[in-house]
Amino acid sequence: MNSVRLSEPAPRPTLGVDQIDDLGAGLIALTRELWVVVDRMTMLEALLAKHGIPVADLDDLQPDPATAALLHSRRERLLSTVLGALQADAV
Amino acid sequence: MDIQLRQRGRALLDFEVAIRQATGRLGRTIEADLAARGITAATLPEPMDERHAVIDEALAGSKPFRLRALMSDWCGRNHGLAALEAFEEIAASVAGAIDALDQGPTTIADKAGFEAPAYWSRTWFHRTHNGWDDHPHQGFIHGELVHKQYVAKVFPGDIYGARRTVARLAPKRDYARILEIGTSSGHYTQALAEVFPDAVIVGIDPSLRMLEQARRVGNAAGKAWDLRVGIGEKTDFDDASFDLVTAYAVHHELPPRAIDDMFKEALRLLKPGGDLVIADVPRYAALDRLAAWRFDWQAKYGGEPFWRASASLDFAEAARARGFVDVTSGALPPYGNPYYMVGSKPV
Repeated sequence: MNSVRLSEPAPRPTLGVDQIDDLGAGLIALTRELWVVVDRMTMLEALLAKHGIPVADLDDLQPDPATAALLHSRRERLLSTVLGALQADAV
Repeated sequence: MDIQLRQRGRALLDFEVAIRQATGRLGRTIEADLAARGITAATLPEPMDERHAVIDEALAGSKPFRLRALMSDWCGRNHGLAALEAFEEIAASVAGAIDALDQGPTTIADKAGFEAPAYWSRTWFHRTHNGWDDHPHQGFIHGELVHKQYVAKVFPGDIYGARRTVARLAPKRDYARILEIGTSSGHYTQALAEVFPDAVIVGIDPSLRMLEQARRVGNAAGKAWDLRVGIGEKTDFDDASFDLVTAYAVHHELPPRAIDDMFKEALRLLKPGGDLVIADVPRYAALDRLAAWRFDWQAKYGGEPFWRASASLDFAEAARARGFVDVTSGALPPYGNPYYMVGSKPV
């Protein structure tokens, strides 16, 4: 028995070729937003580990050199993962 | 000012720096690809448009090449917006410091009825959204955030330190009156004030917003700079009213006719024996064809409509043609950036 439901329309393309740049920009925007989260998480972890200070203080926390280095490596890893998926392996 | 960004703003700008640096790494990949295809500085044609066409065709199927274009466009459109967002997060906390630095010995004379030339008012230089004067704190946003938190980190070397080196290229140390054309947020003004501590410094720029930031920089240093809204190619100053006329990284934002007018105006403003010092982007003629293409590709898509025309000019020849003498020019080591030109008005 055919499992395809008759109410399901046939697959069709949605995004057009002329939207490929928008797709790319959207992907970078997503990467950036994800980076903000990773950054925030990293800082939160640093903060909690050091003092257990309320999370509301996080916005004003400035990274110390070790945390800055960790942020840098995580940022580069995230960026290269996404760019690599876009076939820019050399990045 | 000692600025402490909040978490989101800092992360946004860190990201913009990271992706801009990644475009640089991709550039090296792309040029290695070109070399593997036998395309080098020696094989590229002289006309710049043909150079672009050869490379575009060779790399039409290159995913790194396409991706770099995407990333470069992203950086162009978003670095200023990220800085704006970072500023909005700290606006309340820095308002007092900004207000305090608006007061002091450095002054701004707005020019009633001033109409900026179309080449400036109709261009979003560096793809800055809505141009230089869009936001009431655009000067602060550019001077403190875009310049210090982004530009300084993505270009090699100490690009703001180079301003001091250029100031020292001036032939004398005892200038009484200095005119700086294109003061912007005051980075070069600061260098001039350090190298010529006894000189009266007058700065001119079409952007009131940028001059407001220069005023803060001047006041923070306790300097009495005389800042004016206006353009360097047509000023209200008297003949022979300056000992040194100078500009840093301004000319590539001007069409060739405005550049020539600026040489003419500088000659009028200088006292006999006065000096002209200009620093700007590298001259294409001094670069190999691949290096010049590299600059041109960034400029073409980076909100620099006059870069190519300016970088194709020989400023030394243009200055001589307008009457300057003892004209010398060269490229500042170690990166060859900026190009500089020094000349004098005949005695």
